Amino acid sequence: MSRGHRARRRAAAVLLAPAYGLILALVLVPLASLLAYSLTPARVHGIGSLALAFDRYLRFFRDAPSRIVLVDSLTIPAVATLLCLAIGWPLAYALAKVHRRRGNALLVILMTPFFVSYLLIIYALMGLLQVGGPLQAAAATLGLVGGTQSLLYSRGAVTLALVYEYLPFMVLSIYGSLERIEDSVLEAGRGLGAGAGRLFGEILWPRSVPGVIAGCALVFIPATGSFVEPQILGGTRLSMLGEVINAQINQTFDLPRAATVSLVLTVCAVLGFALLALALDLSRRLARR
Amino acid sequence: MSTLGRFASRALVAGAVILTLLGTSASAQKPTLLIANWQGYGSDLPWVVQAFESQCDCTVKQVDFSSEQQLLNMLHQGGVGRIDAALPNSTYIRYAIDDGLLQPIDVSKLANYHELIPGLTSLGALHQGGKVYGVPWLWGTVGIGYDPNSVKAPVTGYAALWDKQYAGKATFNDDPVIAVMTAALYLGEDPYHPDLAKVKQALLDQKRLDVTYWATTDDFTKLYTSKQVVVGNVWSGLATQIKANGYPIDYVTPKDVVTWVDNWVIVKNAPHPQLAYQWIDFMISQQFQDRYARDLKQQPPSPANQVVAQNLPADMQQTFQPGAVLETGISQATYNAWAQLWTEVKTTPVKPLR
Repeated sequence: MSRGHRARRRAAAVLLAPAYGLILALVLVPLASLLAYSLTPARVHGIGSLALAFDRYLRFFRDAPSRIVLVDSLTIPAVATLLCLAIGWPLAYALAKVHRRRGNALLVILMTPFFVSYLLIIYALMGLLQVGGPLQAAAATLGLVGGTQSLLYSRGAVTLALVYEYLPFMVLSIYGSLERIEDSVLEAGRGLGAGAGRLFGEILWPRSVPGVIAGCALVFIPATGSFVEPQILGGTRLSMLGEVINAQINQTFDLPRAATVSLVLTVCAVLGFALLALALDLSRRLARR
Repeated sequence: MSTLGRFASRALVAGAVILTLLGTSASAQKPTLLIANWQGYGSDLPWVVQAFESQCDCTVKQVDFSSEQQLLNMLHQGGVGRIDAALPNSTYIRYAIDDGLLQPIDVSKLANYHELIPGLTSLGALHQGGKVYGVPWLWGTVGIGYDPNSVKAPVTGYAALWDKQYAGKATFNDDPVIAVMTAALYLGEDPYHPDLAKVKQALLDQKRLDVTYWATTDDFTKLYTSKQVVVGNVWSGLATQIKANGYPIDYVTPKDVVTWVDNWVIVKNAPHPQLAYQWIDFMISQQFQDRYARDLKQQPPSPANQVVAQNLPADMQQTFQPGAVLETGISQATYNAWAQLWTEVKTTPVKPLR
């Protein structure tokens, strides 16, 4: 018994080795090299001193514009994530529980933005939002904006693009957890007199939280690294750190500074996500009581 | 589409394009000349490609870049040994020479070289160690384009880009050298050695008037023709093109105007150097330059071929001023400082003036 167990563990270790190897090669090594780069004196090979490294990080946080851009890089994706959640949860519920028969077909339709390059999506949005575009024209007719006032080059345009691009991730994650809730549980709840609110608060929401957390990770973390969206749709009014990193790599060729900003962004994004996940988990625990 | 994935994919785009082209060219029997240029900038016109291909019995493929920096990146990251000829401007050619990305050009192999404007071929940036590295092709200015229906005050200099009445209706070219030089000329500073603190502040002030910066032909054309902007600094040829397409635009060159020259170069270890010579000779020939310069819808800048330039209609003639503020002659260290400054300006949030 124990020999069989050990053999199975050994087999598992062998079988998992390639996966761990991939994680090591594709996640840990790049992160370590980012760190090494951020500690490198500019345009000189070799690792710099720790004091120099701190200097580069300190300079980032001492610089007021950098701080504003950092805050925008976190708040714009956070708003986009919450919007994805607000739109995605009901959508996922509809797919998992209401239109179950056509659920798969609808899922495929929902996935179509996946197959479209995000650049195309951004340019399509530009067409909709620019002066004379359908969305701008509609907003102008309703008197929300002036006739020649573009909806482009704003926080809203960047947020809209992020929501559009990342919504499928959210829906898919929530769909997965909602689908696993047996109908009998919901029926039992209904039979015992629970209204829609209680079913949501005590069964649907708490049991969908793992999917919601996964969805938030898939939306929030990559969205913090956006650089094309703010560059094309944000105009001169706002910037995100992705643009800073891109400019440092492609325009200034300052790879150490790019690495520093990348690491700051990565750490802040993970911390921001952790806060969000804790809050969501807390809502699940409170609902269960 | 992780963050890292996106960056990696962006960085690999140039390489991927080259690999794709190699893949397609491997199956063709004729030799394939691979050139790097901006998209929609003369060399990819169907008649141009056809005319050259029938002359050389070869195939021409083009990889596009959308900024000078991107061209340098492309050459650094696998372009050397694959790309035959490329088109850096007179600022960036120096870095390509310094970084050993180019090979010297034997101008005696170019039958049309003697027809080029001497003021252009003698530019310092194109020479190093007594050797020629670049062949001037087209040149132009970065003046001010504006909508005469909206801009009523007379426009004479770069100050129009800082004029608060155009707040929310202006745009500015996204290039570190053009940005710093334009701001320096506006401030009355020496464009080669300006006070960078003043330049930075001026560029931040200017940014408050912009809806967005523009980098490519397409960017500016969209912004301008949809009336989102009424004034901006713009390449002379692009203003010509917009006008030729029926949109009202006036173009003004200030007395001291930022001027650029685009030059063909042969990349180090080019697989087809002879074809590259043939290509460059064709690009500077009267055959190409005359037809291209007269096709106003193709945003033609001014031709470097003197014979062609002299035969253009009077209203299209621009005289190259040897003393013009050329985007050239700045050292790598200066460029790095300017690029850093421009990156900071671009990513500093400002309060828009509306």
